[in-house]
Amino acid sequence: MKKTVKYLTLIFGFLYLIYSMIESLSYFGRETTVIVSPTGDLFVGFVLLTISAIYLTGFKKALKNDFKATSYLYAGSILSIGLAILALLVISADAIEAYLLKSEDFIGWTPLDDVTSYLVLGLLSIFAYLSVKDVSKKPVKV
Amino acid sequence: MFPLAFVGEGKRVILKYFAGGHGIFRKLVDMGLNPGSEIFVVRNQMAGPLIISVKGGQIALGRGIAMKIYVEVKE
Amino acid sequence: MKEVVIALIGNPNTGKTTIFNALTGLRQHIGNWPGVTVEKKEGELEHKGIKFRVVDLPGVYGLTAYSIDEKIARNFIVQEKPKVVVDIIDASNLERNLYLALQLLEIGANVVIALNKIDISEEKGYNVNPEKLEELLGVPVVPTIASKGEGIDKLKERIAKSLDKKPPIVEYPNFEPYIKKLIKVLEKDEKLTRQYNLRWLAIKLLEEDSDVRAIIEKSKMRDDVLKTLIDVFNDLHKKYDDIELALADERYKIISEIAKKAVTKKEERITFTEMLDEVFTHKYLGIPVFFSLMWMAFKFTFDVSAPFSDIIDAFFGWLGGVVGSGIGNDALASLLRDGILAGLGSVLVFLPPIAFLFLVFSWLEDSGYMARAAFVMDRVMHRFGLHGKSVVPMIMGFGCNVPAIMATRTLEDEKDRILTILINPLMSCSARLPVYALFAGAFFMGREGTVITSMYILGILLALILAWLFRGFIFKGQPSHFVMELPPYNKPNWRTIFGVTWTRTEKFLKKAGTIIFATMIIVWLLSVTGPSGYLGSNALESGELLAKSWVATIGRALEPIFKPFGWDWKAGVALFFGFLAKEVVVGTMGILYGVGEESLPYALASSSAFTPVAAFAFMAFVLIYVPCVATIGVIKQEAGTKWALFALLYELLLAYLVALVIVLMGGALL
Ligand SMILES: Nc1nc2c(ncn2[C@@H]2O[C@H](COP(=O)(O)OP(=O)(O)OP(=O)(O)O)[C@@H](O)[C@H]2O)c(=O)[nH]1
Ligand SMILES: [Mg+2]
Repeated sequence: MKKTVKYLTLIFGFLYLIYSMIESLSYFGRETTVIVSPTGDLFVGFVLLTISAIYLTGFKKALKNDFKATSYLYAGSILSIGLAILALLVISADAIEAYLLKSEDFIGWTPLDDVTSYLVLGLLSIFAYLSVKDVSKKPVKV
Repeated sequence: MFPLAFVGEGKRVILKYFAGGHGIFRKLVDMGLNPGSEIFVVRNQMAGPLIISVKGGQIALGRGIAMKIYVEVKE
Repeated sequence: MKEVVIALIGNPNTGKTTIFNALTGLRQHIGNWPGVTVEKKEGELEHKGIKFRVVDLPGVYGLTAYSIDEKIARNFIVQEKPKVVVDIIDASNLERNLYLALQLLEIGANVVIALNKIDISEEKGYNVNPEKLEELLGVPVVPTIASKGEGIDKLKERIAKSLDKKPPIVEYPNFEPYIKKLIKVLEKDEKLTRQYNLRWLAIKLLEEDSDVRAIIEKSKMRDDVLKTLIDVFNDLHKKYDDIELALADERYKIISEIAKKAVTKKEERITFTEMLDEVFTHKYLGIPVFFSLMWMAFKFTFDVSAPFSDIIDAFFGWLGGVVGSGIGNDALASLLRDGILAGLGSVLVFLPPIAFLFLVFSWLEDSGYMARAAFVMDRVMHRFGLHGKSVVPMIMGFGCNVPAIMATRTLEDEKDRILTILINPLMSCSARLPVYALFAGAFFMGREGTVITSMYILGILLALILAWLFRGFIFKGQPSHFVMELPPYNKPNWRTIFGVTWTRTEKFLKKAGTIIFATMIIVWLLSVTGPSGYLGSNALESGELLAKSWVATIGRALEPIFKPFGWDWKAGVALFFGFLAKEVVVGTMGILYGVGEESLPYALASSSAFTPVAAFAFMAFVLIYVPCVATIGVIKQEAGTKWALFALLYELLLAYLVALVIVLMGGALL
């Protein structure tokens, strides 16, 4: 199990780091599209950086064989998934605007417009979460 | 004997006595922190408040007050 | 038929209010941090033909009457002598919770124990045996999971059955001879014997409790009692340095014996609370996580509620059309269309974001994160002279300042508490949100998010700066010590969350139906009438006519004050009525800008009454200028008239100053 924690924290730490850079740069006017286009919201960059820092701290602990590394993978994946759920709610809200209310501002809107980096990363984080979700059900020696 | 504020994370200690004042310590006793009780230091980052676990509950304690709680290593 | 009084008591955050709501069907505020209930609340329950009056008390750790809530709780039990005292015990924290139970038995209360949160103790890996506990303590014990409604019926039954039970006596072996000695003297006073449990008086005398001491001072046996007490103390001091601590020790010894027999620990487990805390209370990660969660909360509030606002907007537009064409009488049609629909409608459009804000913050309160927010922000708060626990009322202020100010009662220190109260109105409440949304939409198209965020940040910064100033000049000294229990995280209890959200939304709707509604009618009336009489409904469409109305008179009287900012007189009128409730600012604008086909943001933007800088200054002014009437009322109640007036004055001055700075800086930069 130790190994999974090590790899997962490293991979997700880097993914979130990269996208937080992309989001922050796009706020300052340098748009880079890697799979999804950035939102241009500086706060998104900040939140992604925070999550990345959580995963990477976990990775650091995993390198030292500290059992606490699991906690970082767990908390990081919960925040990531929370963010993805938020993104899904925003898509639903926009879908109501576009398809039900037919608002002027949403002419030509497609759900793909709202697919953001944090939605994709959050959905991927489900794998991270699945690997640790049962830790609290098993007895451990502290 | 030394102040609780100096105990590292993950250590178990026994509460010995309170140095100084009355009021606030009475509340701590009501919260389960009576002399003789076993304290597990959950979080102590050498800045800001601590988190301790006593009698199964978690309590956050300011650094100032943790300096006035004297403890001994559990043998 | 006489009502039977029963009291609910217990440590903070054990689920008292959850049980109270389940018993009475009421919807009192529940949250997952210690100190949610700050005053006693009452409700009714009928069970098998018996009528009960149920009293929910603030959570306390002991009955030493050290803080206000402890006093309230203890006095209630000692003086009102409820027939049954239901002690709600957190099973996952048994030993500490039993400390209060023993003290209740000392008073001689007829205790029934609700062993709550057994789901959490399971998760932590222990098992509390209720039958064993019942046998050891000698009082009924009912296991419950209040948040799921489990065990409540059983609890009702046991309460009804134990109405006339005699409570057991807890003996403290090392102190028995002394207690008996004191009782012997005390019982010579019949009045005391009738009113109090003598055993309790004796124990409290040993603890040198000042309230009990005062009772004895009035007794006819005063001299004898005090003489015996001195003898007893002489004896005891040979054995103990601190008798109060020695007694506490005695109680904890008994408790630990009980716990040993009633609790089986299955295994050590790492709970998900421990895992989350590792990260959320981390020295460096804690604060970024806090801000990330805040951002998510607001993103949810604004983005997800948008379509619902549009639906309400469309509805009012349609209604306006119907009313406009369907009613013959000019004055009546104008009242409905220009007064109520334009005024109240402009406010009700913001029902969705307000409700969503309540929803997300209720969830945050239920999650258990609030206590962690206090923990991580303690260091930051300290720098500005605030207490870590000040964070909880500050966050609640985003919803509404009134309950937020009530929540400051968890701060024991008077200075900390008043300081936290004074800055609370600067936390931008939901009533100000319509103003921001309106102005940001009208003047800052495409940058609404940034502009609205800047208002919230401005409020927080001002609150911190002022706290620092007040601490330096008025409340000299250090914030008191930080001591707070950290409850375990909850998976969302949707029942609780939606319950709390609905109670708060209902309050907003009531406010809209009463005070906002009435003010709108007054504003309308003052717009279509003037010193010369009724002006006709055209007044709201033609500037010339409106200039002859009463509102214009008020507006012009206020105009010199707002001259430096470049706002027109209508803004002055809106601010004037906005004192009653800040939503009224938007409603008044809705009426005065005669919103017909166009919606209010467009009407405002095209009226050329504001430049973007002036609009920004106006938003800041609305954020700061005065707390609403309800907030001033609650400041007066919690801190006194002097501080209420102080808050009013400093906020007016500050608002003026900040708006001026914005206008001047805007003028210089653009
Ligand atoms: N898991 C679990 N949670 C519970 C249970 N009962 C209550 N809670 C939760 O515990 C938290 C505290 O509940 P309250 O009813 O506000 O507690 P209180 O004792 O009134 O707290 P104060 O007013 O602060 O003293 C809430 O988040 C409840 O949803 C239970 O049996 N199991
Ligand atoms: Mg309560």
